[in-house]
Amino acid sequence: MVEVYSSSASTGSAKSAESVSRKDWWKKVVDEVLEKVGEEPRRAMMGAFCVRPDQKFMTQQEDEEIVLLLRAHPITNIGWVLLVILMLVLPSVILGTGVFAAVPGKFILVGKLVWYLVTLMYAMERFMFWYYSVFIVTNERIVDIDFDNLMYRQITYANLNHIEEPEETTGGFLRSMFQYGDVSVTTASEKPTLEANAVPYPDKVVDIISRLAEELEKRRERGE
Amino acid sequence: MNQIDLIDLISKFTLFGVVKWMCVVGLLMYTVFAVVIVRQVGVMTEAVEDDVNGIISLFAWVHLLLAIALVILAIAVL
Repeated sequence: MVEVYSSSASTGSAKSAESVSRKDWWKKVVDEVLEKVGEEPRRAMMGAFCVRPDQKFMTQQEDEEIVLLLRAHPITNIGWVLLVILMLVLPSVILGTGVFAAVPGKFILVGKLVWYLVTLMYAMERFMFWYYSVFIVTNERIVDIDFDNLMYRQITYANLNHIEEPEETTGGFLRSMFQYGDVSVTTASEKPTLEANAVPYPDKVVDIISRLAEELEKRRERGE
Repeated sequence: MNQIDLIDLISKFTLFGVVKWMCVVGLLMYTVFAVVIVRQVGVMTEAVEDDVNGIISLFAWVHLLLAIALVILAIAVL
């Protein structure tokens, strides 16, 4: 009985040691990859390009570390930001024309408050879609979290050792000017492609994903 | 209720009275939507751990409270 316990204890400690060595190995690999790409831990573009952020995401595993956390480039928000500014100015402009002169003041007051509340809600919703739709590259896999509307969340995973060559697409005036583009990663699964749209520095993203996948492949070939 | 009572009742309705209760019903529906937003913010913020999560949750709750306050204001003021 005692032997069984000591045996299971030694197996447990062996597993723990293996996990630590795996984690150390990955840390070293990620350090090397980031150094080769010329990156270091940082948070740029208002949180749209985070290298090795000290953050967690749902379903993150114990020995998993976030290497890149990406959002759409902040410039992609310009459309709704301008719309919100217009919505804030609009009541004053319309009331200034005297169209609602015959409407009692209390209705105007409540109408204005409702309008501003809806504007606040719209701004908050658009900000949340941008902020929480993230593309995460970890040392083991790629995680794509998308929010299409307030009721619908889609999370797609792809292991780094199951991906084909990642691709980047850039072009156009704004994209060249602000250095952002699309990154797509093809996998062999049913949903074949993971896409990160309008992310900053797509070339670096593709480079990092390729290098991490390559290191994983080398390790697999060595039988580790 | 005879025909004269019915005409009497209808004559008590005013355009702004109808508009008031339409506003109240609309705001009640909006308040339900604000509750959904609070729930959804919870789902979104659990996806990624971030410093902003607390502020976003606070905004969602403030938005809900403002929606409730507006319903009360509409009933009281209009």
